[in-house]
Amino acid sequence: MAPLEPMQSLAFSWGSHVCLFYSGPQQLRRFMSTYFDAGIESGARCILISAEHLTQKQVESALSGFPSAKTLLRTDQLRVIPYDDWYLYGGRFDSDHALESAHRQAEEAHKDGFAGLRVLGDFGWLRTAEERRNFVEYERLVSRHIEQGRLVGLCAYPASCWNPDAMLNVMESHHQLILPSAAGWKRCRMV
Amino acid sequence: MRRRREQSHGHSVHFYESGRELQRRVGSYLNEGILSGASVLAICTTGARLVLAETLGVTATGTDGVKRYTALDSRAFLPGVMKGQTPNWPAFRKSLAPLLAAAAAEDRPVRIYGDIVAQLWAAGAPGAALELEEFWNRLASYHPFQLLCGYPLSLFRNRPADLFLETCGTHDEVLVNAA
Repeated sequence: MAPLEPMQSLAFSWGSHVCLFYSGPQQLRRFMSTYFDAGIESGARCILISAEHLTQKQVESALSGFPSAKTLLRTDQLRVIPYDDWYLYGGRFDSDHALESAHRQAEEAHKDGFAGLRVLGDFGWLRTAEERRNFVEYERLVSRHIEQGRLVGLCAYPASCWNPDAMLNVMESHHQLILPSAAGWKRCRMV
Repeated sequence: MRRRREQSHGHSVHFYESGRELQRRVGSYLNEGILSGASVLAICTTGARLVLAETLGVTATGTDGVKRYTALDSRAFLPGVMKGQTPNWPAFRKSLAPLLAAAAAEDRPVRIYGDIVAQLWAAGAPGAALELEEFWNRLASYHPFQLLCGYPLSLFRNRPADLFLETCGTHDEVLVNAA
């Protein structure tokens, strides 16, 4: 078994599509900080796709574990984009629109001189079992899309909303699974 | 001088819906092992061993004509590595050490398939199953081997999702079903 990776570092190669099931906002915040820190270190633009529209205060709270967030937001190395801007078109989930969002952001990051794009999507906005099922289909498309670019995509799902069957479907549409623990991160490959 | 073969450790898990799906996966996993010159061990139920014997050929010999396949009954194996309701590390290590040492002496990689953890789950002891999974990881630090564990996905239904994730977390790889 691969050893636990330290809290401070979380390296992924470009083209990685990774999933995480988190047990609460605190755990997600802790993870996000490590994930974005490593992204900033690698010269990437980092994007949080939030599961709701956040006020300035909520953005600060969501990124509270990430001390340099304020500066990075100001310099545009870190962006926070609400899920509906990224995924919805005409109020409905639209996989083409979502892929276009990813493509556009990757191009912008390149044009702005960043080494690539590191995205974290919080999928707490998927409310129904049907929405979740449809989304897994999209995840399979995304995997192929991400593999071709200088992009790392991390999909964070609230564990409480998913049963083991559905979790396995999600895992199967990613390259890796990250499991948070008190002492560090465990990584499982999907093969 | 004979060059030592590098044996890396890998601990994979396959969650399956049907016995047929598992048999296919395990059969090709063990068969690949035999063909690559590994010593192969299956610790599983009688039914699974019968199917594997058929899949692999009863003698399961390698390309050099040497028998490479050992099968143990998981229902007989399990009580020997438990102390009451808890897996016992010395007993576990002792039960597998001779086989692993013999393979190492012949400089052969080892490939194992086991369903003993799934048996513990099915018996309502997920905590013991997770502990046994960690024993496998610990054992690999003494004798590297490739291990495949099989769990019926149905065991995890109507159980806390954390247990499913914890089970994944004791492995290096989750095997994905071909679409």
